[in-house]
Amino acid sequence: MSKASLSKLGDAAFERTDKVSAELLALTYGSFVRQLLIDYEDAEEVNAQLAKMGHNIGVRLVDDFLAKSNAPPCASFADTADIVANVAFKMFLGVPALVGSWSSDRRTFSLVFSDNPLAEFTELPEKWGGVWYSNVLCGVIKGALEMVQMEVDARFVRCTSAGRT
Amino acid sequence: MAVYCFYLFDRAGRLLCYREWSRTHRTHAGEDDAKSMFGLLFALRNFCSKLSPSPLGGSPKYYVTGTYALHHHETPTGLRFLLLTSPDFGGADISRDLRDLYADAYVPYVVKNPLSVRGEVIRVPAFLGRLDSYVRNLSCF
Repeated sequence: MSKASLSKLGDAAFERTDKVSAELLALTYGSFVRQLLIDYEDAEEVNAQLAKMGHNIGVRLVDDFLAKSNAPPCASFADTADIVANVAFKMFLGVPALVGSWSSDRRTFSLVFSDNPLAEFTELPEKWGGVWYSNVLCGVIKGALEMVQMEVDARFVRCTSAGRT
Repeated sequence: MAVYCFYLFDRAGRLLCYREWSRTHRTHAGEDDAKSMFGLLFALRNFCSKLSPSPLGGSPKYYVTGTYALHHHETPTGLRFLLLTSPDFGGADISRDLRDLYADAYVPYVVKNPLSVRGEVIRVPAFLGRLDSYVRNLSCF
């Protein structure tokens, strides 16, 4: 399926999804991460907790995605990448991602977001430089793909909110 | 015309939900019944995807015998929705109705229900109620 028709699918799925205010989401998520920072006091541990939460979200979310998105079945990993980026992220976050930086063996790719609704108001203090603020998304991708028999690893490479470029 | 019974399996073969309406005959008791049903389906599905001309495979929608018809819908997450009806069900695509049941009842009432645990027998009244009304509204009921 072409990029254009996939992004049309994504738009249609987004229309069908229940919405919450972006500020509510960003602020709730922010206070959540803050609480984790207070509870665990360790960047690595916070990253792990966020990924775990995301995983639990992902394994459920995928059924909602399959029921509502009408996405075509994937024949290759590249198809999966396009559908995750253009349909799934559009449907649940309201922003599509760009797929890029394929490795030469076609087993690794990057998702690039021009806009991150989770981190809209966030600037991590230097002390927490090791925290991947939106790490929950990695867990979601992992959990969701695991349910459709795909074992993947997802991690952040760059994030503007962390002050790391 | 009649609807006999409904099974919902997860991908590990656990029976998440069983309901019956006008089932008249029973060969196995309880768990054995579900086990042989899942076994049949497992074999049937493998067989179908081996025969498929497309590399994506394909799962069976229904088959009819002299005494009953089995309708089947499988989701990419490995959930299997099954409905047994009488063979004179009228040729309607009931696997579509099973897909609707997944989207309109299973996802909102089971998946989005924080109290329901994955892989456990479904006891959510809202889901069971929707299932019952879905089946009663089928033209072959």
